[in-house]
Amino acid sequence: MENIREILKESIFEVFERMFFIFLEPGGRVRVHDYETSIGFDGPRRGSLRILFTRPVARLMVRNMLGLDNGAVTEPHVEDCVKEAANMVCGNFLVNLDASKKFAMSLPAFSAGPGETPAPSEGVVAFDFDCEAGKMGVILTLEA
Amino acid sequence: MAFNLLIVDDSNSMRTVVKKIVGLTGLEVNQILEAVNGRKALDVLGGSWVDVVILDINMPEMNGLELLQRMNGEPLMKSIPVLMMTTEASEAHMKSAFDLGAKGFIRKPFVPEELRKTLLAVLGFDEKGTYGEHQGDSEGVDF
Repeated sequence: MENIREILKESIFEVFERMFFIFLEPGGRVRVHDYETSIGFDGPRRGSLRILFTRPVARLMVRNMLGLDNGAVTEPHVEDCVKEAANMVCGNFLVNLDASKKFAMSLPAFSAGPGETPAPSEGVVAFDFDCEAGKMGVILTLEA
Repeated sequence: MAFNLLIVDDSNSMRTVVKKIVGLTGLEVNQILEAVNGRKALDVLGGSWVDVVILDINMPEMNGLELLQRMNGEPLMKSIPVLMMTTEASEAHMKSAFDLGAKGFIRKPFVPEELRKTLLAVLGFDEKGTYGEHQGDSEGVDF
């Protein structure tokens, strides 16, 4: 599990630095989030990945990726960007986990509105990150 | 020579990023066409001249590999060079794409320079933009 944790962390860093120009650092727990995106995968391992964003982080992602001013960022921009983030983090993680194996990924799902972030549970790999705009969390669930 | 490009990706953000990068390649571009999935891309390909397709895999309705398969069955589409641009970059996915005729493969996340170089190579340019260096490279492009 420790190996998986390290692979996931590096996969997240790579996506956020390359595509969103955001440098994440381990942070305190994300207790409430504004947006959630999730994606499932199937293959040699089956599971799902959820990414939880506070509004300022999601808006920063859009601004950085698309080169927009803050006032120009819309909710559809946010939805599209965070779903693409889930797609890239999941794909990157699976390739870094084992590039010789073929996984199938679902299409990312999205939900908006404040939600309480679940407490970490057994069998789940969870990360909390801080960046210049605020907090975000990542939860990987692997089925046995 | 001005090129017509077709970007096939269900993410509007990703299509926007690719358009910006294409604008920095130095390529003479006539038109950038867009489609949100393979089915829509077939409609575009059936009605417009396209010189190169930049293609995602994980899309609704018809994914990128299914589109490649359909293009293979259409004599007028078969010869259009396709650059895969996807998060699904396992060895098996890459092999499937190249077996179906893709000329290049780039893994998301990428930096703009990677996309620029791979796109130029797929179109037969070298890194300096000289035409002809990579023409006929049926084995795909190193990245």
